[in-house]
Amino acid sequence: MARTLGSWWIKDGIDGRRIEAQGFAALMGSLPGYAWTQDHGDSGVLEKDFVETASYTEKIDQVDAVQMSSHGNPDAFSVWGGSVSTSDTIRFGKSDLEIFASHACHLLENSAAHPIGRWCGAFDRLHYMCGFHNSSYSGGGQNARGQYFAMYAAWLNAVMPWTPQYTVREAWKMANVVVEGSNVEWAYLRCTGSGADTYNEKLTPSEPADPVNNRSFWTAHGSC
Amino acid sequence: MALKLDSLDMRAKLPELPTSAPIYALNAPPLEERRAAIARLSDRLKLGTLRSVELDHGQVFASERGDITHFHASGAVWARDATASDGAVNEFRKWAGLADSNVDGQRNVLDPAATKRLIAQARELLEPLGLLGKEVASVSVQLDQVAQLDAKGKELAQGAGQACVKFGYEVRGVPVRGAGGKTLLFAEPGDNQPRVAGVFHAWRNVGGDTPIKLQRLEEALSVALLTDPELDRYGTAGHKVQITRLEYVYMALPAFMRQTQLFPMIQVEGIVSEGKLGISFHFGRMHHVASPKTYADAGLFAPYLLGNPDAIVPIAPKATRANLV
Repeated sequence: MARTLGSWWIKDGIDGRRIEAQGFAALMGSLPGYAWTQDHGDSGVLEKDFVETASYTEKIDQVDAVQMSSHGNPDAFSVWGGSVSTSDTIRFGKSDLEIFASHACHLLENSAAHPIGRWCGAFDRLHYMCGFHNSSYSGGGQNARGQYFAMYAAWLNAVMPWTPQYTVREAWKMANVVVEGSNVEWAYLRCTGSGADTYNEKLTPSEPADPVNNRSFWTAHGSC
Repeated sequence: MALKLDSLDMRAKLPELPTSAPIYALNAPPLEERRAAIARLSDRLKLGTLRSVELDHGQVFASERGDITHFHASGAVWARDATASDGAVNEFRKWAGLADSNVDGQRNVLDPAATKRLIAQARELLEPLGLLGKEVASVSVQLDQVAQLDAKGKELAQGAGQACVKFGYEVRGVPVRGAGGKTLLFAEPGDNQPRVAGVFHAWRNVGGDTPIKLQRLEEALSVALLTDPELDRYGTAGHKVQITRLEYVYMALPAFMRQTQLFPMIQVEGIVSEGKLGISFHFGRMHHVASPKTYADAGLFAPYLLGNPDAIVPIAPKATRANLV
């Protein structure tokens, strides 16, 4: 069974947001072993698809990897007509989701005022949240962010199978080095556990083991 | 309704715009010009025998140990030694000369001596390869900031990760920003000296210039910032738009984009307050300060001069835009 991809985007007048999210899912979905199965834009970006909702399977958890383009701050990201915040009940990965990538500014800021542990509660069996420590940009060639994330995560290795396949964390860093200026800082938060070490995890067609036992978290941020 | 300069909560110093700006010709070093550098980088990174494939964005030379990409559009080079971190079990790295800066969010730094050595090592590698532009104006070392947390999110340990030597560019005193205006060298701690893990060099050759006239600040900002469709939407709905950074810069587009003119933009960062349309959010934006007509009058034509490189379309193009000359 293929690994499935999703794209969620809110344009807010800037079509690049759609291009960015769909670029990831489209390029990944073009490869054997992957399928783009969820695409939701603007009014289709619903809070109930991210926050635990009774008698409902959140659509975010019907895919393995997601690229999302909406606004954010250290404690929340926006959905249509609302937001998803660290005070909500979020259980990413409870069904399927392993990788949640967002361009929301400051979402993964790690500072004295905003320790990143605030997002650990969102990890049910999620492996990676990819985002930014400070502000990401629009308007300077960032539309291709998702496409380059997919390229470094899997596409290049599929086209040139003798090349190294980069890990999820390296692919996120490399994509953002290509699209952002060096004042921007990529960031990620990952969960790891016994039998499911995510440090070297790659986005492959097969399902990885989930970190459920003896869990701990690792975070890093650095220059684009 | 378009935003007004005085309706913004301005927390940034307003830049002084020159009355005219030189628009510099750029050209992208072709693959033939980069072949020697690519070969020497491959040797230095011990990548072994490389096989090459031409892709839409560039020519990729790769082995099982790493890859080097030459981007057609810009002449940029992205080289990676995929084995440089082999043996590491997590993100922490032990650096000689590690110091605590006491700067929130950037605590881990190299001390001045270690910083100087790493910069010298980067220059020694990059300069003979032609992978540092003569317009380099700044250099610094930034370490990845790493933390380990327990199952409940409490920090257990923090430290440094991979190092990045960052070279920045200026042209006649104006900083160049954007993904296509930087040279980076990534390094891992090594036995005798740090091990080079990668190089990203994106800098097009700068040629002669054509001057254009610039308007006064508010008119220049009206070209795009004050007609930003998203900020206008939130401003009109009553959200406060706070500007925390407003800088006059030259824009270097990403390595995969064709760019034959170095043009000015305003680099903006800010915060939109919580309100009727939703949560408070941060934003970063690059916006033009000269109109398409200004460029056309100077005989300069390119898709990125006709509008925003990411196709952010200004609102109220009718009366307002007609007045922009």
